Amino acid sequence: MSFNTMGYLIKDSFHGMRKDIKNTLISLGTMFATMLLIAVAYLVYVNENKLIDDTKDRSSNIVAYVDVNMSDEDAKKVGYEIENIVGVTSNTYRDKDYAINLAKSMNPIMVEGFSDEVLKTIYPAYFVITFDDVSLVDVIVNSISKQNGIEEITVNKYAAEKARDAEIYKAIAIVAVIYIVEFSIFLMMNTTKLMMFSKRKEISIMKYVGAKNNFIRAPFAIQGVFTGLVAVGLTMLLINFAYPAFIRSMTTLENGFSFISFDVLYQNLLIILVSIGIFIGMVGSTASMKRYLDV
Amino acid sequence: MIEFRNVTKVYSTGIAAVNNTSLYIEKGEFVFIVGASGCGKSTLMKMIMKEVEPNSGHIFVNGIDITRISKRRIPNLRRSMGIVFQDFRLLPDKTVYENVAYAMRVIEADPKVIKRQVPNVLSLVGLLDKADVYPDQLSGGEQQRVAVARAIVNNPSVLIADEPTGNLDPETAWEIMSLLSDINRRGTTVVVATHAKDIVDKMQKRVIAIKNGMVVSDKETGGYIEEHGNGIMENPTDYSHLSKHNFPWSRRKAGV
Repeated sequence: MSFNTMGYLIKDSFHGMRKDIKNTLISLGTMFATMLLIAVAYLVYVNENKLIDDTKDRSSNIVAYVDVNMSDEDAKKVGYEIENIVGVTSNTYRDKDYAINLAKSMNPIMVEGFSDEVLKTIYPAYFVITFDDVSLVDVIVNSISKQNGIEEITVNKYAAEKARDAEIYKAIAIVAVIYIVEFSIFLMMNTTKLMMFSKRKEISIMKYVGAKNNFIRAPFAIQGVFTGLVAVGLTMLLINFAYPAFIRSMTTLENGFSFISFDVLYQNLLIILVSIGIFIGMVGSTASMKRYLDV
Repeated sequence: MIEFRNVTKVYSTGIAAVNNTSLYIEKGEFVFIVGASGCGKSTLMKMIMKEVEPNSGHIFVNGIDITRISKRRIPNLRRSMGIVFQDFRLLPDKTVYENVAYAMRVIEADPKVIKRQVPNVLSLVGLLDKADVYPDQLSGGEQQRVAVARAIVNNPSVLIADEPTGNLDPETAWEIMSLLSDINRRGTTVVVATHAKDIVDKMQKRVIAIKNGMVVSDKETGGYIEEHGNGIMENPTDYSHLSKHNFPWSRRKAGV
């Protein structure tokens, strides 16, 4: 296709939008709604991910206390066994000295007056076991409890449950994003289908004059891409004001969670929206005209 | 130029629009295809522009068997012909100039050539002063002249007109036919499907009559064929002429 023809098609597509302002605005409105939904879904998704990571960082672990009479050597052997349990991502051994020092630093009054020898009979060595998959906690605890010399196991249940909830929310967010994108494409396709239906006569005329399919598609594709990009611009503008305001309002609730700031997100969000905007704009407008090209 | 060899078209409804029809149109001819509504003349026209595919037989345009060309090549076929419809089929969002220029745009003609050629053609059809007007601001006759201008702007070898005067008053219809006749005199083959009896009688061009999807008469310079109740034409001797046009390939084989 020559530059002259490209220039003509671009000019023609803008002329078409100007002449058919009603459909252009409908298309832009739909695209804007689509982009906004996708942007919101994305913001929910990334913040949900952060929530999960934060929860994990805080205290998703199991502490397994070793029999006070067990030697360090024997305890380390048990440690190797624990590391091999499915779902365990790390296992750190803390000997009796570490436990006593920790007790001294955290609660000195409690240990005051006791010699280290006595304390060694009170504070056992222990393992700090971490894991990624919260759903495996019960299985891991069960396996650890079967190891020789393990006297007591504590699980940070609050953190585990919170992390499990966060995983559920994440799954919901992923499903929501998929549905929103699907719904948006459906919405866009239907809008463009209606537009194409109103243009079907013109498309058939173009075919009779000898226009090739790409020549007919091009102005509609350009219109679709342009509409998509304008919708992305409007969405970014709105999110730029609305998202920080939302964060501020949530921070006042003091729920302990800090949202990812827009400055960090905007680049990725822009790339995602521009890609989806161009894709939906181009494919949506050209795919729905296919049937009218068969003249 | 245009040749139908034993072409049959039966629609999915079971109606046989064209029934084992053969005919031949020479280069530079002006031919009327006449017949009652539903006789199959529009189907013939649609098959020439490859809007409708025959069930059997072959159709040649400029020596190419168009029944064998792929969908991808249909635009190329249509670029070799000009097409005029009863309902004008102009692009409503484009001015007269743009409508005519569009036919040149699709073949990616040089903009300089477009700027030179479009005014020439608009001048030929008498609409140069309406170049910047939109179709809905024109009368029916003017719109049809724009359609004719668009059809001839690329200097096609053949011009197909399907009921071009169907939506026009008699005076305007005659103007359009005169215009088509002028175009024919410049060397373009013109095929017109019509049931405008007065015009056909007046023009004294070749007339091919269709009934029930079959060629029932083919007169070199005749008028509209009046059909009697039994379907026999008023001049049965025309059938001898039919065979001449129907089987040109046999003439060629015989070295005629």
